[in-house]
Amino acid sequence: MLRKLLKYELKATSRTFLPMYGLLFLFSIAMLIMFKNPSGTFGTTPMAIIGFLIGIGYTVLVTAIFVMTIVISIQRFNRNLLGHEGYLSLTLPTTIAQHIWAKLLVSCLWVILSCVALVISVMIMAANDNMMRVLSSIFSSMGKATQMYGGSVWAMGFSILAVIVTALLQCILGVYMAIAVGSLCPKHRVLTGIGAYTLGGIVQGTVGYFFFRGFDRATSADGILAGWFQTLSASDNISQVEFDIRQMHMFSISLGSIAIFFLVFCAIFFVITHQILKNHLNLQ
Amino acid sequence: MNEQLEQTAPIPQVQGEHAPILVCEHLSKFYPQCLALNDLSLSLQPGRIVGLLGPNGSGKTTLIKLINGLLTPTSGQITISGMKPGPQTKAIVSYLPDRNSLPEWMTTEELLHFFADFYADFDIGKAREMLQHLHITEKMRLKTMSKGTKEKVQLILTMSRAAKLYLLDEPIGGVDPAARDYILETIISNYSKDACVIISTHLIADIEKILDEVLFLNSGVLVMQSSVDDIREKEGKSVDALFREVFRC
Repeated sequence: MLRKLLKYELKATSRTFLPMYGLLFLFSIAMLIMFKNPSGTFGTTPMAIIGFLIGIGYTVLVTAIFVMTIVISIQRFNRNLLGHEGYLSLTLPTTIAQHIWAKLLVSCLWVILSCVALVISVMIMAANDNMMRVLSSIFSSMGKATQMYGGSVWAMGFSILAVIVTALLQCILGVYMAIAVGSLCPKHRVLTGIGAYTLGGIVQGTVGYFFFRGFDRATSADGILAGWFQTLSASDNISQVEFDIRQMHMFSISLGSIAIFFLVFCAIFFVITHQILKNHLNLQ
Repeated sequence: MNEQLEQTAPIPQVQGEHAPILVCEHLSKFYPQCLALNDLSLSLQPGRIVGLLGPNGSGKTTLIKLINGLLTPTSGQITISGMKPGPQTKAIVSYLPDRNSLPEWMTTEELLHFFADFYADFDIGKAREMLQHLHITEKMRLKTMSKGTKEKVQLILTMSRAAKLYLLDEPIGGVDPAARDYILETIISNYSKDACVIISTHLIADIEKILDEVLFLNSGVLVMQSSVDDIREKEGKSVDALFREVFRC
């Protein structure tokens, strides 16, 4: 059933996003053509005006994609589950957990794809021989780093990815939790939702402060992780490569801890949302 | 309250092949300033078309939404074929809400595939036949349809399922009189004989001819549960006439 929910969720949302991405790429190509003049100037005033309008259009589109990604994530959860479409969605033979997962995964996908679309549009606009050389040197540097430092580079890359993904998930789940809490108070839904989101942020910030303060104390001179931390930080009698690898491990472990922190709050927000929709639903 | 009203005891549960399809036990739903349902108990057998009747605000839609799991009871419990409302009961309950719940961006064809995907008991051939009969083209998007046409589409999708329990909340209120007869025929001919159909409506005169049983609700209380034949024999009047008498303003 989750696969079917994902299919229809993608269908419902791709109608908005795909045309926007298509338009973005068209404007990028137009920008490339308009601004390809090596002198950097336009031949005529009308061309200058067109170039200006295309530039404005591109900026507006980028802003629209950013805003729509957030709006649609919120709107799909709110309308499709707690609005009039909820009379259809919540009477399907699926669990509440499946509904939440379907909305969450598709929202994440569109955030990632929006970022990818933006990067591609920038690459289109900047397309020239130099860019190919820059890209090729980036890839060859990554290859050399992997040869020199082995799996540590990949571990660092995965830990950065883990933090980004878990941060994204907990942001979206925080919004879902706020919407679910808001539904408990129909007369003041929006206010209650904003209050719940703010409270969630305060709790997360407070816990995060004590978590990282605890980590800092544990790795200080007389902390329980002092020995481990000193081993990783020591540079005596080891090669520069070995020292760099240890630094990368420390970086990966630190980021991994942050990802786990975000994951814990993902679970908390998910459970709250699930419990409210399963046991306290009152569809208006 | 009219002295003719009787608060009948719920029909006792019968074991074996006539086990009740729906049982509500001491069901109450309380909103901050309103008691929508008050200690309601009932039991319905399969193979019956039941009219859920009552004035505005009597709790009909609240009861239907509770059965569908769209509301959480304040107290009491509901079982459908012995199960609490959840994914398993949703697979055997076919619900027509009193408002449009279908995504406006979808075409009729997409909706047919949607229902076929999620409901194993959905008969796409039957649905197509009914759409053709009512001259509704599959390529039409819902947002381009009139209110009445959307309601017809919703009803066709609901009745094309071979469910065990049908919950129809005002199925004929928004459609023209000519289509009403077709819809009522559709209800009788398309529900399977081991299913139960609950119809909530104000248009009692129109649906009375197809009803086997009626439930009268007033201010969240079940004030009468009786077969239509019993009403005609004992009261000597139609259900519509009895309703007008009982709920006289």
